[in-house]
Amino acid sequence: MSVFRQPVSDTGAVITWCPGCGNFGILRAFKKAINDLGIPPWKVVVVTGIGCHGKFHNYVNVNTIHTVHGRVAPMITAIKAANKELTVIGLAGDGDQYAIGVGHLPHIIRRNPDVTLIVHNNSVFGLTTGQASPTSEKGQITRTTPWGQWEERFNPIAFVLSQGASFVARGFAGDVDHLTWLIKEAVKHKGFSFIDVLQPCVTFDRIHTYTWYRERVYKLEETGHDPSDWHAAMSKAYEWGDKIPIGIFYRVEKPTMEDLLDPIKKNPPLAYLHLKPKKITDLLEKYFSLTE
Amino acid sequence: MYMGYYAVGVSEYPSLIRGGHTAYWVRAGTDKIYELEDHTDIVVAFDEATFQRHGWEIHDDSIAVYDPQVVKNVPENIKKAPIPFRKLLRENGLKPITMNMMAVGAVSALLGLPLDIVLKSVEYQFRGKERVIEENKKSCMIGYEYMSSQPLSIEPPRLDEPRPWGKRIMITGNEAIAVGFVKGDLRMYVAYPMTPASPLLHFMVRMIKEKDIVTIQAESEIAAAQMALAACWTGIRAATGTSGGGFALMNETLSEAGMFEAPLIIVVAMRPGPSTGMATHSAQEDLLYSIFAGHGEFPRIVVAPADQEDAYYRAVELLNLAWKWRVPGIILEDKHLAESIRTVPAFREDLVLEKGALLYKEEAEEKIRNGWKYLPYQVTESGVSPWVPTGTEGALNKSDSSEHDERGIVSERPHIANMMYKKRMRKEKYILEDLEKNYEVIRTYGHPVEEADAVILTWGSAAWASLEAKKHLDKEGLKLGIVQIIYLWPFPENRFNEVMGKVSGKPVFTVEYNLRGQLGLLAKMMTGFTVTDHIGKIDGRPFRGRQLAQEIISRLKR
Repeated sequence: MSVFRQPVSDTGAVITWCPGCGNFGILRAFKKAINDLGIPPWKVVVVTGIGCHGKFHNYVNVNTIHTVHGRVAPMITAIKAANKELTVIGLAGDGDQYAIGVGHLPHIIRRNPDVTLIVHNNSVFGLTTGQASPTSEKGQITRTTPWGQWEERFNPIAFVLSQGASFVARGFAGDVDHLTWLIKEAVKHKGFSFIDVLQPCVTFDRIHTYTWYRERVYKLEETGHDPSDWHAAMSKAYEWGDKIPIGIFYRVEKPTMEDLLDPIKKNPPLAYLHLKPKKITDLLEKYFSLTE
Repeated sequence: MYMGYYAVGVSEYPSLIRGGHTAYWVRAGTDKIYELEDHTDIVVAFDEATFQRHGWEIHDDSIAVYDPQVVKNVPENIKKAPIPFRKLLRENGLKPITMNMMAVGAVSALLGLPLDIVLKSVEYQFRGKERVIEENKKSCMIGYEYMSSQPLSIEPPRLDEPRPWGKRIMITGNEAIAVGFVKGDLRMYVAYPMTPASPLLHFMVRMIKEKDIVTIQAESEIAAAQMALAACWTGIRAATGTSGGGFALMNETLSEAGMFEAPLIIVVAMRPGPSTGMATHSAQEDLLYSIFAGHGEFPRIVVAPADQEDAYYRAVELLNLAWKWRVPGIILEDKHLAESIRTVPAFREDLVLEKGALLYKEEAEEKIRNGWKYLPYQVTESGVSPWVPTGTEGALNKSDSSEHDERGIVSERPHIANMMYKKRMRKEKYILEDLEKNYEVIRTYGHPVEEADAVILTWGSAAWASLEAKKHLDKEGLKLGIVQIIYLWPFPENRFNEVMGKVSGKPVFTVEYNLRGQLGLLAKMMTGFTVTDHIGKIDGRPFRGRQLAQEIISRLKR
C-alpha cells in the first residue's frame, strides 16, 4: 500500500489537490513564467475564484485574493485601475468563469484592462464533487447528469473572440513548457489576455484524460496560423473533437482601460498617493448655487 | 435661496420616461423648514390629474395657476389665476418645453419676487447652454409680465423679509454624499444604475474629469461591489451605491469585505419593497436589513444622515471610520433624502482625513527595511491590523474569503479560527466605544425628553416631519421631544439608555417609513427598551407636518 504525501508549496501551505491534478501543471507554468519575466513578487497580484483552482493563491508567494464564486474578472479590473503598475492575473475555474461568472466576461473584454485571465477548464465542478460544468461534453456522465449531459457544450474561445478580446489563447496543463510560453505572451500583451487551459480532472472526469488530450491537441503556431486574422481564429475556435488546437488564436493591440480613463492615465498608481482632502467649493459654485 | 429664504424642493414621479403625472413641491420661508405641509398655497396645474391627485392639499386661500384651455376641472373652492400658457408660447414662437419656466415667471410675479433674481436662477439652471438660457428667460419673462399685468381679485401670499444667513447652497442628499466622497478623497466609485441611487452615479461620473475619480458603470451590482472591494484592497478609498434589490446582490461581497476587513463603502438609497416595490418613491424598510445583511458575523458601521447637510459630513466621517477600523460601512438614506433638495449652509472645506491603520508605501518600505515582518491580518488588541498598499516592496497582501491565518493563508484549524474570528469581532466593541465617545451618534430636538408629553424615536428623513409636527403640537400646548439615531450600528446602546432613561413615563412613538417599527425592534433587541406604539407610513410619500401631528394627537387619545 502506498501512502501519498501531500507536497508543500512555497508559502508553507500544504497543496491539497488530488495527485495528478492538472492544477500542478498550471502552477508550475505560472511560477516559471513569472520567474522568467523577472517580476518581483510584490508587483504581482493573483485573484482566484472558488473551486479546486481557487486554492492556488495559498501556494504562491505573491499578492493574492481568494474571492467569492465567479467574480475574478471585476476584481482584476479594479485592482489594475487602483494600481496600474501591478501585473494582475486572474485565475478562474470553468464553473467559476463560464457558469456563475460568465456575465462578467464580455465586460472585461469591453474595458480591456491590461490584465490576464487564465481559466482552469477541467469540464466538471471538482471541489463540489463532480457535477456537470458548462464545458462538460454532450453525453458526459457526471453526478448531475447520470444519463449523460443533455446541454450543449459552451465554447469559451468562440465566445471571447466574438466579443473582441485582444488576446485569446488555449493551453494544455499537460504541456507545461507551452503553457509557460503562453502565460508569458499573455502577461506581455498590452490589454486583456485570455487563456483557456485544458485541465484533466483525474478524479471526476473519465473522458478528458491526459491521454485523451495528448492524442488530440496540436499547436497553432506549428500550422502557420496567423494570429492577426480574426476570421481564421474564429474558425479554429470551432475545431473540437478529433483535433483540438492550442496556442494563440488571436492577438491585436487596442487602447486599454488605463489609456481611456484619465484619472488612471494622468496619475501615478492611485494606491501610492497620500490621502488628501480635495477642494469642494468649486463644485458648490458650479453645481449647487453657492450664494453669499 | 438667492434672496436668503430657506427652501426645500421635493419631487414625486412615476417610473416611466414620457407622460404620466409628475409633481414638484417647493416650500420657502424665513425660518428653517424641515418638511412639506399639507396646505399648498399656489398650485401650478399642467394637467387635469393635478387637482384629482393633490386636491386634498388645497385650502381656502390656495391659488390655482393653470391654462384654462387645458385644465377644465378646477375645484370651486380654489382662487383662480389663469394664464394661457399654450397661446403665449405659440405667439412668441417658444418651445412647449419652456412652459415650466413661464409658470415660474407667473408664480414669481404672484409672490412679488424681483424679476432679475428669478432670471438669475433660470440662467444658473441652464448654465453653459446659451440658446437654452435665452429661450427659457424669454418664456419666464413672458409669464412674469402676463401675471403682473392681470387685475387679480385675490391676495397672494407674501414672504416676510429674508434674514441674512451667510454662505449657502441648495443640494440633494445624493449630491451631498457625492461631495463628501470628493472631500474624503474617494478615488473610485463603481455602480449599476438603480433609482434612487442613480443621481449619485451621474454626479460621480462628472468627477472623472473634474476631480480625478475613477467612476465606472458596472455590468451588475455584483460587479460594482466586487470592483469597489478590490480597489479598497489595493489601498484606495472606493465606494458603490444602490437601492434594496441591488444591495441584495451585493450581500455576498459585503460579507467578503467583512472577511477581508476592507473599508468598502456602500450607499443604500431606500425605496419601498418588497422586490421592485415602488421604484421612484421613498421608504425606510431596510434598516434591519442593512445591519444584518451578509452571511456570517462581522462588524460594520451603519450611518443614517439626518439631512442633506449632515449627509456631506457623515460621508466623510464614515470614510474615516471605515478606514480607521478596517470594516465595511453603509450610508443609509431614503429616496426622500436622496432626491429632495434643501438650502443648507455651504459645506466646510477644513475636514481632516484619517488613514487609520494604513501605512503609506514609503513608510511601510522603510519599516520593512528595518526588519518589520508584515502580516496583513496581524492579531492586535483592537483587532485592527496595520496594512499597506498592494505593490509595497517586500510586503504581500494576501486576502482569503476562506478563514485564514495572520498571513492571509487559508486555515480551518480550530485555534486559528477562534483567534481570527474573535480578532474581527472584538472591533465591534471598540467601534461602539469610539462612536459613543467621539461622535454625535444621537441627536435630540424639540423639548427635552424629560419634559416632553410625548417622545418621537426616529431616524433619517422621518425626523423632518416630526420636527414640523412639533410646531403644530406647540400650538396645541403639547410638548414633543424628538430623538434621532444617526449611527444605527453598532447600536449606541449606552447613549440610547442615557437619553431614553430620562423619559418620565410618557409615551414614546417610533416614526419611520415602514410598518414594523424597525428602530423600535432594534432598540428592544439591544437595550430591552419598549416603545409605546409605532407610527408608520408605507405608501412611498413622506408625512406632512400636520398629518403627523394629527396622528400623534390621535395616538395620545387612545
